[in-house]
Amino acid sequence: MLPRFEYVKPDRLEEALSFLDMHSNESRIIAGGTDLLVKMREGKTRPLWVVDLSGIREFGGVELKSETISIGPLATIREVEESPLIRDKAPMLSAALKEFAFWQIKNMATLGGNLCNASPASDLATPLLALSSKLRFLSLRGERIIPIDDFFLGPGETAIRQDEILAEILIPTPKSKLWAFNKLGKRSAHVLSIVNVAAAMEISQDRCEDLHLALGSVAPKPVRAKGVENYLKNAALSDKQIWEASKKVVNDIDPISDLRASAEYRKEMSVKLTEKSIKDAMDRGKT
Amino acid sequence: MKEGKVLVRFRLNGKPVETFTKPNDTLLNLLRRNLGITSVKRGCEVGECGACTVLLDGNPVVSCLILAPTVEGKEITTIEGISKEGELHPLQQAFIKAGAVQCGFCTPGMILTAKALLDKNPNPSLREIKEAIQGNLCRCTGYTKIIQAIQLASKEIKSSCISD
Ligand SMILES: Cc1cc2nc3c(=O)[nH]c(=O)nc-3n(C[C@H](O)[C@H](O)[C@H](O)COP(=O)(O)OP(=O)(O)OC[C@H]3O[C@@H](n4cnc5c(N)ncnc54)[C@H](O)[C@@H]3O)c2cc1C
Ligand code: FES
Ligand code: FES
Repeated sequence: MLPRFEYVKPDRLEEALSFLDMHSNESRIIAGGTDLLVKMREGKTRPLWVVDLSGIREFGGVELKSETISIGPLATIREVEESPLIRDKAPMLSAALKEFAFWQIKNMATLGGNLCNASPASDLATPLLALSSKLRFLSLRGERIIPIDDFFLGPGETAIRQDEILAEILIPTPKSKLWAFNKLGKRSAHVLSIVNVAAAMEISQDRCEDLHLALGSVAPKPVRAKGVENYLKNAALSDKQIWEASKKVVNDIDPISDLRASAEYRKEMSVKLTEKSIKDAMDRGKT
Repeated sequence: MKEGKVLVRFRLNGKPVETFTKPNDTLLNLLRRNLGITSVKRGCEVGECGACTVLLDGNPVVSCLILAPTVEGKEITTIEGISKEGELHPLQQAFIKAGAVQCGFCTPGMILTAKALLDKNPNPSLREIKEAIQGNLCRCTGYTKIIQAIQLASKEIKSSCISD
């Protein structure tokens, strides 16, 4: 049985914002519910109000607004994975979401819920970090847009304020077609990743012009591997250079040991998956 | 509105339902306790086993992680809703023929997921079948016969379409 609470479903955005303004401490938004219901059942969160956003139309869907991909917070994992626009403009995101959980969960889980839940093992955070996404928040006080790099603070902790709603995920259309997503988990559908890596790259004349590399499950929050990115900036992309760069990843991560893997194993695998991801991304330029 | 209760109206297996639910009840509880649909099984209750699978607007979801009031206006399908005029659905017949049922606990959810798959993709590959049923755990059969049953049903459905 879930702890007792009351249920509200605002039909309009203004209603939702006013409600959250008045009851920010006692309420919890529900999107797909796949994290919230588990947490409520475990007694980890005990809201007085559960606020259902599904009546707010403008929060769904995926669209292109000039050069930016806009995703509504209530878009489901499956909707985004299968979106022709995402497949065309941000195939890394489709590929990452393909590995996400399984069909039932994909039909329920939303992108907004995944981000706000802020699991260090999120399979969505890493591609969005590598794609330099931005997040837009709304409250009665107004609007706020921040880079996703500033959003995650720690396990379950984010920069969202209590009266705010995550209203939009913004992804600048990637210029480069070179990308990779790799997830290591014992059985990808049921086990959270042991480490996941997303890479977006630009190459010019066999030199690395730009690299965005993000890792999940290897720190208290999903992280960008700035050490690796900087090491490879403008460097020639020889096997040796890539290996040297990949080893730098251990300075950007801070893994723990848990039931799924030891910290040592996670470090080793982070190096290997970093190397593999850079090479996978480069290979896309060869075909 | 009754004290602390929420009115929820939806379609269950094609028929309109109007009932009161506690705001903190799950769809799983609403179906089993209030509406007597015990084919929807209570397993892990944390979204991992798929025994509580139902179709929501045609898509498989786990009813243990759905808040009952949120199904307002939706179409819910359980195993009771897939046979037509007393005749078992081709998937149900195929599960019997292939011997894909042992204890039966996973079966309603498994068949519903398989139905959603065949509705979208009447001719799935082995890989597509395996991917679709990843979230439906079976502790008895080892999946081989379940997969055979889904393949058999896919053939049956195709040939009955041609003969129609
Ligand atoms: C069996 C199972 C397997 C899973 N597998 C994976 C996996 O492979 N990879 C992975 O990354 N995750 C996985 N998850 C975790 C989960 O499914 C995802 O994190 C999901 O995307 C959460 O979205 P939701 O819509 O269900 O969120 P909800 O549970 O509805 O919400 C999550 C949190 O976000 C808040 N919130 C939601 N929307 C907003 C908004 N717009 N503004 C502000 N706050 C908001 C809620 O208040 C709540 O605190 C799995 C979960 C289960 C049960
Ligand atoms: S009981 Fe719902 S998934 Fe196990
Ligand atoms: S037949 Fe027993 S769990 Fe599948």
